[in-house]
Amino acid sequence: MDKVLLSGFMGLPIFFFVMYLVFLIAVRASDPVIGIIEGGLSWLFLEQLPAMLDLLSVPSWITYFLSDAIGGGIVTIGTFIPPIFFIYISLSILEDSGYMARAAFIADKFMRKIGLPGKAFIPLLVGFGCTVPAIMATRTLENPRDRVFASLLTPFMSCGAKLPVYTFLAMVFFPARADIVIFGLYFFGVVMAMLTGLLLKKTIFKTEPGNFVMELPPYHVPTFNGIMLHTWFRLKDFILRAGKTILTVIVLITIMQAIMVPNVFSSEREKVSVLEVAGHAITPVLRPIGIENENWAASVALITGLFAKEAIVGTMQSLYSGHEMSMDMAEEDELPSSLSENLQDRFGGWKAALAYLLFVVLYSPCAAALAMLFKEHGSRWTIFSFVYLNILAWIIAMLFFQISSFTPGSIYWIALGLGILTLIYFNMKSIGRRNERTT
Amino acid sequence: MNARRRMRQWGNRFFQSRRLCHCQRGDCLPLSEIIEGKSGTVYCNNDLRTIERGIYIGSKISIFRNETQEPNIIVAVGDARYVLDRRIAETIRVRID
Repeated sequence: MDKVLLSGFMGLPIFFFVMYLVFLIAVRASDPVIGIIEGGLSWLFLEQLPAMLDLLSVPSWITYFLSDAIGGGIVTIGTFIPPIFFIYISLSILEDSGYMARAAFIADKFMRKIGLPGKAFIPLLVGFGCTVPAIMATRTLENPRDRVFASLLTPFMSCGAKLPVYTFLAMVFFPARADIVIFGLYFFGVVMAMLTGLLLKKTIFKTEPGNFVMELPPYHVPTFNGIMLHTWFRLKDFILRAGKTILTVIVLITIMQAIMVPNVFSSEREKVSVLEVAGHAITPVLRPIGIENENWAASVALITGLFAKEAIVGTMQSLYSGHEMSMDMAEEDELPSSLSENLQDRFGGWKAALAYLLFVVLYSPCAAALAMLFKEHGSRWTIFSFVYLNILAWIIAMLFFQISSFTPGSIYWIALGLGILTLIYFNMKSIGRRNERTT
Repeated sequence: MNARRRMRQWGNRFFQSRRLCHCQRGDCLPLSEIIEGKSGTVYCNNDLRTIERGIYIGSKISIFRNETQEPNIIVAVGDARYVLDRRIAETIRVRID
């Protein structure tokens, strides 16, 4: 079997096919389950609970808090569970069958080219689940250089929390080809990781990677109990750890949506929510990637995504279907009937949506991952990772949007993007030279 | 201080000389140079990580995969199979059966 799976000719295509299969299962199999869970939880928390609280004559703000904030948060978390469950099941099958170690061996050939040992493939693969354990998994690498290097590349691997964001936007903007778009985004993250790896190898980490020694376990048919136990432990960990953050963020967003302040960005000084003010503040920076002023909710989602990536969907669901978004629209007498229509209307087309998705793939990891990076490698590498990822995400998304919707003004933005990239390269080179002098 | 450094250098030299492989020319080969399908006995190995995994002096080892353009080789020791870095494989000396 190894003759085929590890062969130079067939090994790599089989590896990519298996990875594609994992994401196909995650998207296709989870889709009907998401509908059932969402419907059931919405009926319970958003219909029955407020009705029951009304019967008990509970004040309306408590009903709003329990039903819209906490209930809405539980519904959002419920929709994340099926895709993550299917991803974890697929990874458990690969691990238990013995293919995962073979995948690390196949990956070693191209990992060397980006300056990492093949063993670093495992933390990067764990990164598809969550960036926090992925950074922790870099401890298995003996060489400190490899540990820092691999940790800097883990945020490029789209974590399980980003999958709901991809699924949500891909289903709205590319309903017929959602699975290909999602796989493409995952693949794009991997490609950017490789390009960053090459850049780091040429500039900051010029030394050779550490040695690679790994056992290849024998092939065997995975047992149902083994797969379910692995999946359950991982899913439980995700729900307990990420669920708490998501629920807190969604409750905070719902509260912030209810708090009204005068709009400092408008001459009329009408009262708007705190979130809208924050979104308006950063939207001009995101305009080159296709986020217009009226689409401030997309900017807010990016801010909440810094706390937990899962919160992006929660924020979008609450802001694009809420009354806040529809205030301006009421004037035009074109109130969108659904969340999907609202999204399509605000983004103004697939180009802006795809540029936004590219930004989500690359921008800063969540607060928990940054904290772990700080714990493992100190403030210097944490700041480097945060700044580099955000600038890179902005440049790539901007280049995509400006090239895909080309206007004469795009030339200036493209030139600016390329100029910043050159600046990053020379800055990294100087860091590398400084490192060489100190060592 | 200088005396201590000299002692350490002497100690390092002493232990390194103990670790040198006294293999007769033509008697054994680096593991990385053995072709696929051949098996042999480990003659010299100073790498602790591979010793811990069972590739110690006297153990039977067979080459499962060795392609010169690849950075690793796959070896079989007993029932276990290991992926070894070519740089490590170069330091392990094997006598072909």
